[in-house]
Amino acid sequence: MAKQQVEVTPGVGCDIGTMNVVAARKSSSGVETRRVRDAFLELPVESKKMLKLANVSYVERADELLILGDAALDTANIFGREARRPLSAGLVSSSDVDAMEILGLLVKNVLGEPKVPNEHCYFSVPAAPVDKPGQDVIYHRGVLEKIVRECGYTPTAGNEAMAIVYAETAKEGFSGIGISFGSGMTNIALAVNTIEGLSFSVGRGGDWIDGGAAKSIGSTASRICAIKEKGIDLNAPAGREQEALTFYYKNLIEYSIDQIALQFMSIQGKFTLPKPVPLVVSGGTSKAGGFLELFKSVFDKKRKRFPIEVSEIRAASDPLNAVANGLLIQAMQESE
Amino acid sequence: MALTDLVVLPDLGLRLTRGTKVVVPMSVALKSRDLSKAKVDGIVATQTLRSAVIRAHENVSSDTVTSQAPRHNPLDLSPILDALAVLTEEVRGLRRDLARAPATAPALDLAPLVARLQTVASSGPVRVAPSVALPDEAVFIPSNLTGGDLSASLNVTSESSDDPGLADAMRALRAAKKNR
Repeated sequence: MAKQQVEVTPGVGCDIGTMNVVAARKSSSGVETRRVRDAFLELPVESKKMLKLANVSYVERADELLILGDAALDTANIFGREARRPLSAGLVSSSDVDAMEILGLLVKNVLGEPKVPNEHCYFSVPAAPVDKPGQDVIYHRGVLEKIVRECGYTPTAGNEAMAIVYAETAKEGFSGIGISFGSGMTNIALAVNTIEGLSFSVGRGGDWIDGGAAKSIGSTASRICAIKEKGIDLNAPAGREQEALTFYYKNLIEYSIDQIALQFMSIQGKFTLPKPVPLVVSGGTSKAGGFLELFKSVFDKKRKRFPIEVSEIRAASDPLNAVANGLLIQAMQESE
Repeated sequence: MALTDLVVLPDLGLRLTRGTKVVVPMSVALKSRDLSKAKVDGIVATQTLRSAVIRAHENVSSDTVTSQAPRHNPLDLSPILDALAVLTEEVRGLRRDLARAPATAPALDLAPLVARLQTVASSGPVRVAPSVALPDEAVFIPSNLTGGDLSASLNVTSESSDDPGLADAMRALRAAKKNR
């Protein structure tokens, strides 16, 4: 019997974010991504019958039922509850062991079994937030590393925003500014020829926008989030909710640009940029309609005082998967 | 130092009058139930000295004690208290982990915790230091995070894209690393 040759390209990239967990692998035709919502919902055991009738998968624990992933969000809406997230503001909490276990299960399901023993897996880690002094990512990185190792992989932490540089700036020789507008935080990195010159995060992201907009008009964050996900044009907001959202989007963009300028000034003289670099915006928060145009218009007003010469501002080709793709490139390179 | 007219600490063999200061070894003080009770009752005040000359079972005047203790260099117990707080949290985490772990779960690795306990216990009071950084490996991260007594098969959204950029990026990366 002829042996079937299975082509395996080892290496996997895994973006573990506040909203989604995404794994990217090379397939024979291109890239295969697997995604699950980074969310869970706890329900009393009495809900079992209802969940069975609704055909919702759950995990049974001693005194409660757990619904994980996308189903958690759908079920939360049915029960009028808020789904919980294992990550809070982009990071795991050392005091929430339950959340860590759930995150472990989600990552395990997304990664699957390694294709080869101890396959390389690059997982995303945010940079320490500059506006939350005293908060670091050491514990977060340690937990994720342990989870990935327990899944049978050789784990390597990769900076989230640097992954965008890897995924989106190959034609510029991996030089550029990558910005990942996530739910929990916004991550920023500047690199020249793959060398990281600057990386940091700010503790504002999609959740901050929802919370701020909700507070300003006396609504709830979930309602605002629903409006946002239904579709919004940031350059032509309709109604006070959309106007509030636009205001907070604009504020986040201004804040991020100001922070890049501020942080770059602190390394000026130690890091030289031989030529103008592209600026790539990515992440789920950047998917709102008109985000790129809004970013460009805000940037244009600040361009004169911006210390880095920017050649072009563009959106990532696949904003939800760019980080996972960038990590995949690094993982595959590790396997070569 | 005794804070009332008369304090009797039988297991230390001490009878102290108000204001009397006595220095006893840390190991002896820690074992003394009477001293512990007296502290709770608020009838004695204690202070931890690191290198003072120990004069157990000997009443000395407050002047003498003051002259033996280091005058400058105030003691700062905050690092050790911080370390104890971390340890307490670690132990709580271990208990939670043990309570939930299935019978077949691998044994928890207590070696780093024990080593840390020994370090803290033997180090005694700590003087003011510029900063105290806990080693990374001492941070408690629970084991068996990807299963334990839970297992689930989730609906994972899977997409395939014929992204030609990956091969180009790999080639560019090889070239960039070569040129560095």
